[in-house]
Amino acid sequence: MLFDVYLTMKKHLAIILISFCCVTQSFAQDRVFARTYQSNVLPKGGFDFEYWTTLRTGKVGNGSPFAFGRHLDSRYEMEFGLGKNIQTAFYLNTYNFKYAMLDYTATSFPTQTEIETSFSNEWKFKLSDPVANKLGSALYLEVTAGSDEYELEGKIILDKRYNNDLFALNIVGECELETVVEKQGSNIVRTNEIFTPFEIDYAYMHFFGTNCGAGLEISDRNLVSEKNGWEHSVLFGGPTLHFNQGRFFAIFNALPQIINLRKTAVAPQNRILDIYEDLDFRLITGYSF
Amino acid sequence: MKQLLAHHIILLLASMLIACNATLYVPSSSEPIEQNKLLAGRNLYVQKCSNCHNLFLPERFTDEKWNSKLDTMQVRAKINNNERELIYHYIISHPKK
Repeated sequence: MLFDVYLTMKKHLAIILISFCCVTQSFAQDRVFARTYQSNVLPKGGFDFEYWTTLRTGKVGNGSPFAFGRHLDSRYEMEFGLGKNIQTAFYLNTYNFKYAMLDYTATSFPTQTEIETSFSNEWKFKLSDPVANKLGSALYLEVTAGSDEYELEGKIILDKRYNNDLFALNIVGECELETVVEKQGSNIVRTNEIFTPFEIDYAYMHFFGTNCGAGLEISDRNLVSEKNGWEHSVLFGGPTLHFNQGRFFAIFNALPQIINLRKTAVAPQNRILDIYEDLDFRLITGYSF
Repeated sequence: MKQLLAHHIILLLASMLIACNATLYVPSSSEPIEQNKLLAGRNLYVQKCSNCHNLFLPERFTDEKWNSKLDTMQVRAKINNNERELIYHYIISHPKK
């Protein structure tokens, strides 16, 4: 019985793969990294659909308040090329966090689930080309409205393609306005907190032919808050695989947390596992129409 | 903080150093008509092709391979015969190493 199911699944997978192999040569914007953006934009009238799945796991130990913590986030993205090196995109984001709080007096840890949805709009302006110019560059702006936060994210995107190798660098600045509800005595107080994370992402990929590539992504995530100043600087890094066939593309990245480079009174640990996670996997599949 | 900044600056400089190499060549012919033709080919190649995909450096493929690639892409990128010839001429005229 189980073997029959396995065979059917294998047959379906083969049909899907053959279908992808039969479609025509790509017009896609050549996205190859899971975290780091490139300067390319879609041509006028171009349309891409992407589905992102991110599994973030291991929010336990090392000062974390959780006995268990795992995220499963999804992003549905529609990108449109507007011409004149401008592209826009719309995202629907869902954030699902299942966790159990650590309580040494308890005998069991009941799990709770937090679900949030948000909507984002992205704009990307290509300034120079990674092959035709000395350095490819683009400016990026993303606005997010969620059930409990507003976020504005800006990026400076730099990249360079040299034959079979691609390098990319993103300097990312964010401004998050988050609503926090607290009980003070008998009163319920609602306050807005401003966080300004900033991030530097590096990426490298080597291409094996025109359909696949393997590389590395490194991300340095920092948090500055009104209350505590520059709280931490956490380094992540891991491999990325890219595959495209015709108009279809898939990208996979595993990003383990390596070390906290800036230890402060509010974040004295070597690795920060209450805000971030031990391991972060992302799979992006997309299709260019 | 200084260490962290230094770390990022080193990586940034390394990226920039790599970036300074290997750019799509800018033609420099002593013959003005040839120079204009090559520049027109370069501009067309950048405009028409980088809209949809990453550009390839001319030395990446042989002249024959470029010819067949241009045949395939001409219709998709809506390139007329005259433009195709200018692009092809620019690509195969790259300085040979």
